[in-house]
Amino acid sequence: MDQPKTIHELTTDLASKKISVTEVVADYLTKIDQRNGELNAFLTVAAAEAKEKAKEADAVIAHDPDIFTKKPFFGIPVGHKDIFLTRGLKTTAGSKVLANYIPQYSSTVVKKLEAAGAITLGKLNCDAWAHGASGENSDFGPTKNPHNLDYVPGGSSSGSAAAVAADLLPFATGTDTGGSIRQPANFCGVVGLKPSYGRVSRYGIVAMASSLDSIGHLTHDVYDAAAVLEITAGKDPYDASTTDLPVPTYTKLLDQPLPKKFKIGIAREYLEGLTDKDVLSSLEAAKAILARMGVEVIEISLPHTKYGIAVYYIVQPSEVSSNLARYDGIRYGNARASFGDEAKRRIMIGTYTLSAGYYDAYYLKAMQVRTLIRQDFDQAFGEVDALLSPTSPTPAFKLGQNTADPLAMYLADVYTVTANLAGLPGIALPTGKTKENLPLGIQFLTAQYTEEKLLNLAYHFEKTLHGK
Amino acid sequence: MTKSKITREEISKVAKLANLSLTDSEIEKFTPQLAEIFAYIDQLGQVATDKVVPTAAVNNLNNVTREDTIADNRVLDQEEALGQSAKVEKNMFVVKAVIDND
Repeated sequence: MDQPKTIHELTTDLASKKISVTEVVADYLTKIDQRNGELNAFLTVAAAEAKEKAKEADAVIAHDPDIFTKKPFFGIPVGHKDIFLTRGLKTTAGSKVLANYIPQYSSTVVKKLEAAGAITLGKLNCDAWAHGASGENSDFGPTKNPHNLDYVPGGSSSGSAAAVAADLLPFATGTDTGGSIRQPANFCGVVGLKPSYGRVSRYGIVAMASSLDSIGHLTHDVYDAAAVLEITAGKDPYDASTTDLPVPTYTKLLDQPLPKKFKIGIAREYLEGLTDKDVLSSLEAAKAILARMGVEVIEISLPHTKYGIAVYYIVQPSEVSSNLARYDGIRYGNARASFGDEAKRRIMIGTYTLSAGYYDAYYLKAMQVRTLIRQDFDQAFGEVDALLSPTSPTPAFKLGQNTADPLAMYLADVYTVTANLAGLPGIALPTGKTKENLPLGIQFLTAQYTEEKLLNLAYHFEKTLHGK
Repeated sequence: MTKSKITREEISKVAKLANLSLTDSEIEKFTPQLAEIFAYIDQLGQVATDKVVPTAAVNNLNNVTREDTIADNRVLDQEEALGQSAKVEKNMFVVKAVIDND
């Protein structure tokens, strides 16, 4: 297989007329044709529309060669997790409830990427309603890990990770409520960026848990992660939770040298109970790379880490139960009987934790412990610039391994959920592979709304890893 | 803090509140699963949270408001608004009767 092309490499090729948009789009559609049968990464392929847009794009390039400076993603294919509304293009959220839903409008992120010139190739499989860590909760069948078809790609942005890893797309959008971008990126060996809560608009994206949902993307490298964020980030009048902090030009800040005395913390609570030898060795390898970069790594404490999953499995289902209450099959979609098992479980957990008499013991208590988790991070970022951790306690697991035990599946989110509870940005980076050819990786976190710092670190880490 | 044993009756009651109709075999399957999940989240009872202010949102914003005007650019026309409904009559959504005529 050829080395996958990044967005910036494709742009160089397109701008120098080495290849046309029509050829780029046709190439990806051919690869999708060849591999989607076994991977089940795409739920909808918009082949005809994409070819038409490619033809129009080539016509624009012919008379306006400067178009690439005006539209940074001109002619670049993209796929969207199937919970991003796309006007006129079926959007299912991976659920039979929305099996035939054709949105009347597009989400802000889809609009922004289209305005930057990106061409939508299709919609990507995911755990139904983004509930899951394996892709197996999709009502339209599981996605497979392109590195080994017996293994899960992770979830819930399962199709996004598998499609980018298999080079069926140069990049894909995803959402991360408890790790749903970072964990599948880790399982599939691609870069997964979860921006801070409020950095990217949630408008027009099927809501899972409104105080936790972060909108991000999966790419081949850190440069592309920065380039996509530069387009998607910013205040949106249609999402009142977006911050009006200015959006830095992330790509221009990437190769700045890291600040002197840059310090990274590893929480000792993250190491307790971490037994997987491959994950431990990938963490050691990451520490060695950081040492080569001249970065100091120290042990710190995040004392409330062990309560992260418990807080998350109260806050998240509570918000899920109220968000999914709107699906009544009247204005659009099918009746509530079409909800799958995992959605039903979460609706019931949330309904219970919010019900009269239990609110104080569950939801209020969880919000209070959420405060303590957030304070842990505030304190940590007083001591260090960034945090290093595994992304998941294990590499990808086999299909079917955890499906009968929801709690075991939930515990796979232990390193990712706390960033959502505290609203922090995080990035999952690939570091290598196991003997079984399964990807390994690590995660960096920084303080809220410091994506430029996170990406700066990730960029240098990636460069040093590749010996550049 | 709370009991961690969830009974079949509670599952049925919660399902009804959430407007989900569950089969007996679903109740059979979900009861032990939810009991296990609640036993796990009950560990929060160990954390001292007296006087801890709850966190409901993490974006440091408060009461974001907008002008109370119609945003014409995102108003659906009637045809579009009704276009995704399985049952439409006289340009209206069809809903189940909630009031009995008798």
